Amino acid sequence: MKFTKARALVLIAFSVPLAIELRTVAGFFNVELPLIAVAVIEFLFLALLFVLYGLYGEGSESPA
Amino acid sequence: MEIHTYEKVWLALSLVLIVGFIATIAYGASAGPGIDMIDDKGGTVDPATLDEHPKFGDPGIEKTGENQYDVYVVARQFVFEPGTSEPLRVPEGSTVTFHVTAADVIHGFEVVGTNANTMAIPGQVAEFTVEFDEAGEYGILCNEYCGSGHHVMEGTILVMEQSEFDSWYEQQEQQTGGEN
Amino acid sequence: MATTRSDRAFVDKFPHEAAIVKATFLVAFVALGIGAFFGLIQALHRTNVLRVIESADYYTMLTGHGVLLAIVFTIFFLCGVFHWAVARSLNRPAESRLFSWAWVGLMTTGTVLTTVAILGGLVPNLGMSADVLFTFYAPLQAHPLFYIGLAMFIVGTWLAGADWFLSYRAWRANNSGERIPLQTFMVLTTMIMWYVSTIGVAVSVVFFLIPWSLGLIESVNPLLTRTLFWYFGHPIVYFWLMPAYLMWYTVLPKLAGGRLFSDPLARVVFLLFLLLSTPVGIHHQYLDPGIAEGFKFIAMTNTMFLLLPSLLTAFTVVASMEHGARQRGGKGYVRWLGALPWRDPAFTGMALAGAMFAAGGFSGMINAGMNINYLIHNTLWVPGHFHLTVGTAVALTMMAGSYWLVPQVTGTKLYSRPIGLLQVIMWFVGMVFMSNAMHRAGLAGIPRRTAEPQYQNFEFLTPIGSIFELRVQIALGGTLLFLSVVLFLFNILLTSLGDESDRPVDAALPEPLSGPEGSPRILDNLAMWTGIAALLVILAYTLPLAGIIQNGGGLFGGGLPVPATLSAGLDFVVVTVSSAFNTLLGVIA
Repeated sequence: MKFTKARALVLIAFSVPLAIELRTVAGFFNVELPLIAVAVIEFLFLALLFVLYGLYGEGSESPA
Repeated sequence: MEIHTYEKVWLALSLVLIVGFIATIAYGASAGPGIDMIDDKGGTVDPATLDEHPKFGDPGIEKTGENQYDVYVVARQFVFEPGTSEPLRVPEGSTVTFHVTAADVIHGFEVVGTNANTMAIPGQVAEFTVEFDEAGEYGILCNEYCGSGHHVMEGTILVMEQSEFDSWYEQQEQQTGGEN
Repeated sequence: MATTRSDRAFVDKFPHEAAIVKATFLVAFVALGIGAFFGLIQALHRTNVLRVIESADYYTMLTGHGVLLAIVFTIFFLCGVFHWAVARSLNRPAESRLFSWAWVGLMTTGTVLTTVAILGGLVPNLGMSADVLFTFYAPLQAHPLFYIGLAMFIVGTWLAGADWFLSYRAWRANNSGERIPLQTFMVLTTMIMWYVSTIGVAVSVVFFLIPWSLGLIESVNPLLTRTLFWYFGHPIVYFWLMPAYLMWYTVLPKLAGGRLFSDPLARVVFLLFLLLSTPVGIHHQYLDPGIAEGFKFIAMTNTMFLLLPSLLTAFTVVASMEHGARQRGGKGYVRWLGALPWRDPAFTGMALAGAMFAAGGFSGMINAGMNINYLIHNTLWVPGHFHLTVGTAVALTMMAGSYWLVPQVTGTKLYSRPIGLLQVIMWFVGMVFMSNAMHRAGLAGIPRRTAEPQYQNFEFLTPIGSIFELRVQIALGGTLLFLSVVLFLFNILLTSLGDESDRPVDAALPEPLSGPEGSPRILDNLAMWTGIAALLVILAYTLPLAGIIQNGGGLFGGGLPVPATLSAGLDFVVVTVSSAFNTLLGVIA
């Protein structure tokens, strides 16, 4: 399966609500997550996505 | 008609979910917590002659029994009477029955951060009961658009210690008594 | 390519119908642009990020936003989709071109009059205003032009429905034994629901609000006109949703690379909406005095049963998508999701809209809960909810659908698929920010429809984060949504200006996996279903309306109150009968 730009975009889209609701989930366990932590986590996810895209993305040879 | 097995399972689960929702609400409304709904028990009032009404003509708080009070509130563009120009005072640990109506257009009466919330409709009286456990201050706001000054329509509820409230209440009684 | 365009494109086969669709889409998109701009101004104003208008003018913007988006954009687009669907699925043009243009003209004239009355509020010396919001609750009063325009618009939609029924009758004359084609079935059941439900608003506007705004009658009964509004105000929700459902059922499976799972269940779903959409309006009035608790309970049970068709739809849509993905080579329990055509903005937009609709459904269940509702009634939670439903499930599906439909009526290729994809994703992300923050703000008690909710005497408290963060989220979300609309309009404009194409879009719709043959013919008995729908409405509304008129000072208000007469026993009977009927319906379905 190729890692296309479109799939990357859709994954980014779905990561936003998950990131926003992360604080609620943490709240259930009495952990107060500051906004900056959420921003960092989302940023790390985006970085990971970019790395994966660089490795397996449209421009590179598909391993599958 | 042909219904696939997965569809049947889904259908059954959906029905269970729906009946479950209705059951929890019926439980909350009648048995168990017995949450008070706004309904038609407050009766009606003529909005045109509100000023001559025995209660709404001079709205405010009235003692009806041991720790029991009635509060009459009139909502009009863009104030609560009482609530806006002076706080609505109630004693701590009391059970208060609110009677809320509107003088001009439809308003809302929401005690901020609680589920004490009703519509105030001209001609109709909303009746609901609230228990005030702790002394403190609550905000009231209008949550139904009522005209160009809707966003400034607010008020406060002051939950006072019993002794403090009593002396204030007595003073009020004397004042109105003196006027008569 | 061997095939000529005439074999495929809607615009060549039905040029006159395509012209009607283009006209309705044009009005819809102009309204979308203006309405979205007003939305941006509001999002920035109420969060105190940027204030370019007076707070008193906020309500003019809000009225314009509500009317232009929730009534004009959605319903004009619906008319275009339905006109396309009837001609396509019956494979015949409309009976009379003049008649089609007549309803387009009437609806457009009504829209212009209403918009003029609303925007008149921005010109101080004009003496014209209609700052009554989308719900126009009396005794707030608008200029007569507002109500007259609204009445013309509604009559226009009635004529549009008549147009489609005439097509159906003509088709039936030549195809006596056939099942109603699925898309036409969806159009007709939706329009029957619309006829039943618009009676309420028509009575309210024609008999009470127009004479009152012209000064012919002194006063109105505020609870009566409010109840008549909600008699219409909830079914209109399904009127918005049904064109989206039509596309999810008949177009989305094809875009996903497969076909619809089950035709009969699609019919059952539309029938359930026809039956249950109207006798639920009182659930918008849980907090209204003057309506007995029993009636609210009936509305609540009906509302909960209304979850059923949407849950069935969730199943069918996901199943059809999975089928499509597997046709495209998708494997595994979850991995098939990757095989879906995410590159196609029409598909991705609809899929994202469906996902958000699920979230909107959950917050809707809270609204429907008669007692939890007290916590969030008229708070920002409510607009948070309906921006997921009408604002995304409907609006995003319509925009995504446009990427597939507009080329069929213009004969030109979509200008840019990547821009389209970016647009639908921006809408999704923007709405996540805005709607999430609105829900949270509502839980903190911040009211809806309020220009600057910063009060002098108290602060709002939120358990997680701060009110400031929520404000920033709303402003950011609103900005992304507006930019998304700009991209959409730009893409559609350049599409319509593009060169004619031999094959603008693959417009063929495959047959469903399970066709209508196996399903009972009674599903197609529209007269019977109309009768049952009317009966349910009578059951749910006669007693509350009688009570409101009797106790609230008569038809026109202002009279002396009469003591309440409804006995608890009667309530109980009505509740029992209605619940039993609902359960029965559930079982039949």
